[in-house]
Amino acid sequence: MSTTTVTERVDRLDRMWTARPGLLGWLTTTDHKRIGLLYFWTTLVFFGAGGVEALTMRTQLIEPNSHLVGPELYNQLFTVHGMTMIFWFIIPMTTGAFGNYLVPLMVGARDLAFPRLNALSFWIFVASGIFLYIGLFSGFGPDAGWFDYVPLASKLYDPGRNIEFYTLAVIFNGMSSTLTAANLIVTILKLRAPGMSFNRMPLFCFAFLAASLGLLFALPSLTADTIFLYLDRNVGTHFFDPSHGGSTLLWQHLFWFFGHPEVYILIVPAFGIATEIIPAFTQRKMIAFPLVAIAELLVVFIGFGVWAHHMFATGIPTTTLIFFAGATAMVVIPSTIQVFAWSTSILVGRPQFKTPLLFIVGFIFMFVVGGLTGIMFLAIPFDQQTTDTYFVIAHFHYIIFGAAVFPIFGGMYYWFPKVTGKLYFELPGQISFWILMVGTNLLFFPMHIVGLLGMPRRVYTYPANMGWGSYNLAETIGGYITGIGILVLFANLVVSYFRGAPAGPDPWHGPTLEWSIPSPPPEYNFAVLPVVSSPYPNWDHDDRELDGRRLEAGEGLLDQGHQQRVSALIDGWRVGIADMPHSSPWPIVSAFVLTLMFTVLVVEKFVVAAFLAIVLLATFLGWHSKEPQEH
Amino acid sequence: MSLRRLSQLQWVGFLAGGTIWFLEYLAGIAESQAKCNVASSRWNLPHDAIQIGFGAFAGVIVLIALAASAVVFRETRHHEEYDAPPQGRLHFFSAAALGGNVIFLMIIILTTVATVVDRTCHVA
Amino acid sequence: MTEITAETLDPRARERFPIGWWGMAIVVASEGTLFAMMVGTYFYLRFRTPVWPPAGVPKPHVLVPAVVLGCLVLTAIPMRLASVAGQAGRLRATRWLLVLATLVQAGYFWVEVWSYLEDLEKSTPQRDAYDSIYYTLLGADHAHIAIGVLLNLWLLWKLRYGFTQYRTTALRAISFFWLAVIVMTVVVILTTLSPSFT
Repeated sequence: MSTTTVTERVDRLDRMWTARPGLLGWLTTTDHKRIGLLYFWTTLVFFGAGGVEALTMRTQLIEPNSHLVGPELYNQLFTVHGMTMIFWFIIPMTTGAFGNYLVPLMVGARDLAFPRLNALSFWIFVASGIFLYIGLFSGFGPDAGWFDYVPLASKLYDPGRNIEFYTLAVIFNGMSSTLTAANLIVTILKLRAPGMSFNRMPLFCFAFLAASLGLLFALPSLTADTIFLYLDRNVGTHFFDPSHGGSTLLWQHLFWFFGHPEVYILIVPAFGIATEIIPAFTQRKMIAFPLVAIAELLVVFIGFGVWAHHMFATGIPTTTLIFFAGATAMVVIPSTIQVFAWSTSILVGRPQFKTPLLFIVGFIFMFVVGGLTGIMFLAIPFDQQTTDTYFVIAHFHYIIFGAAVFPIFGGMYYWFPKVTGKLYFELPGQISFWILMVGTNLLFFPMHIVGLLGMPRRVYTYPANMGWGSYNLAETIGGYITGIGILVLFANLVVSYFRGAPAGPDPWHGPTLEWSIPSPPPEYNFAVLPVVSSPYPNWDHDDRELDGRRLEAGEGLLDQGHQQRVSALIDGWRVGIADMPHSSPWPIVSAFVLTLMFTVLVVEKFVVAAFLAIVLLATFLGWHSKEPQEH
Repeated sequence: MSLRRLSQLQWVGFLAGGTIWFLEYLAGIAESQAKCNVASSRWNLPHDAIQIGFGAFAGVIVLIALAASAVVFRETRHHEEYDAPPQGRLHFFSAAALGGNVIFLMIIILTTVATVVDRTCHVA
Repeated sequence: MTEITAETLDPRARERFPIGWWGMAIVVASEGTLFAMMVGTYFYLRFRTPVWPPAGVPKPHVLVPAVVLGCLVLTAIPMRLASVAGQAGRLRATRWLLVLATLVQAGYFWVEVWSYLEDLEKSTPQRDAYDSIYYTLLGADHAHIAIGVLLNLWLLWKLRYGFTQYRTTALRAISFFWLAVIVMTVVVILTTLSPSFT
């Protein structure tokens, strides 16, 4: 086949996969890269909102007896801050932005398994966030803490609409996360490149598979819980009312059955990011590959067995609590396996401490500190002493900010050249890391001390004679330094986008498939669907040369339609070809109707909600009027 | 040993330990709740015997899973974890399962011993 | 160098389920977990309540729910046969099997909703926690039956113009959905009837 013919075929691929131009193209897109970018920008807006809430709280606590905000607003601020950072920043940033953009590229696919569902998931996510913030700005922001304990959240003690915004926003957001998780799971299981058996799958994909499975099985518990609370408050049921045979602890059991796996769901994608950055910047494969892979899965799996360690102070008999303490003790082991694997890989490799790797080193440090205080909580007496103090806040911010967000920042720098085609500026990148490292430790470390001194969490102010003032002052200064670090980081990325040098396809000599294609990736991702023989396919030069020869010969272009190869579940053999859907207006239309439905549920208009449910079903009929085939 | 048999053993090794731990864990919690709750305490469940039974049964299954993983690991010892499937995949999963099953066994032993030694239905 | 070079389908692979089926499997896993949580809630509340159902609440009747449940369980057979017939390209058989299953399933739904409304005349979910979980659990299950019936009707409408790969995949996925819904329904009904067994 002549070269010209191959070029024409690649051009045809490009035409077939290119999205519509303009705003309409973005609104109807089903392309995983575009949706990944939409997730990225939207989650950053929510990150900014959560950050403003955090700084407002820190400013309030800078000195004793401060009255910058009153107790009602403070309650809403800490609740919405927690909800935003967990449900509207970290999860959608990891699974939504990084997962969407990178998983298909890493497994050698042209899109996710269900592109229209992916678009629906994004628009539901956006709508759920707007829904939450409409509550906050109208004075009805959720105000009973992100874990929303009853009876505080019951109608008796919280008679406004605040908790309706909590329950419905969480259910709404959970639908989005479930759809994203389903998409990632099926993509990883069924759309892997030929030769990518499980033992040749990048660790990043193991991490995202683990996180997605965790979301899939954890979220229904929260959904059931919030449905029960909505019914208790609006229909008059008695799930959480002990005077009618209900139980307040039932809320906590169901919440934490979701809530603790959630912690691992937040950090496991960060583990995946670390396992990509470390090989790239040490130019060596991760040591103990099978153990790291199983550890990523085990952290989430055993994470389902630790939920009641959040309930050690609730009077449950130790006969039961022991099961949770045991699992909590042992979940440390897979985490430790990974810490040793990351550290050893860096030590025995040829580390280049560029910004992404610096963030990973910072992450390992923060994760170890947060992990050590986590182990302390499995001792029931210690846990009971520190429950609801700032010690707990310190612990989980070391985990959630240090172990989940630091790798996200590292990942932003690492994949910036791939997404934009530009190199970032290294020195400002390193400066942003050091500012963040100093800021976060100054912000969170004194919380351990002030917590041990007895400062309870969720107090909007405190008296001067408690001896907590200087620690709180330091924390607030740390908070502002952290904010400056984040601004430097994003300013660097923005300036780099406009002024950065061209990156080329592979500036880091990265190990995985996304580095084998141009930057930014073409709409169709891979002209020739690649073959794989290790988890580091971009370092397998024979395979990549083979791809080049296949392209010259016109083999494996799959240019007869909008097509994607389907692979076998375990060993990655090719088993079929699927036509992938093009852009579609139905996801955003369905999401809009769903949003209306949730909005009328806030004000208990059940008949209108039922009517909207029928309209929603009608949109699904339109959705399925076009039939992408699977051969 | 045939590849088909090794493949079966690989899945037993990889899946059985985790599955039985989670079942033992849920059953153990349910039994402890039944023992200590107001309504169900009248059943007078023999707590220690039940928990030892649960723990012993689950422990044996995990040991079987561990043995299955060890056999597959040994049979595929001349292969690398990145080798083409099925041998590479067998080696990979068996190595992973060896690590995982040890952790499951430790959790089962730890919780069984602790719940039997602990004063039943005592609130800390 | 890798061992895979040809573009033909790999002879070692046997494709058992299309990706559409896998999507449904994930939905079923999520919904199954939701029901597990609700059933767990039922027993959690039960363990803590000395008299279950509470005094004054009659124990549920067993006979009628058991009989109609048996009918629903049997619809797994025509749904499975429809899936097999669909894969073999037998359009008429597929349609008739689907119609048969849908009629029985819709009948089950009608009887159950009627029974639900009749129960509501005797007690309401606002009375106590037992009634709250009883009506919520049954309501959630009936909603899934209704969704299944709607899916069948949609499929029958789609099959007016014959088979495509998409519709065959949808048939397999919906058949699997029904199998899962039937299993969930058995668990839910046995749970709600459990006070009558003791």
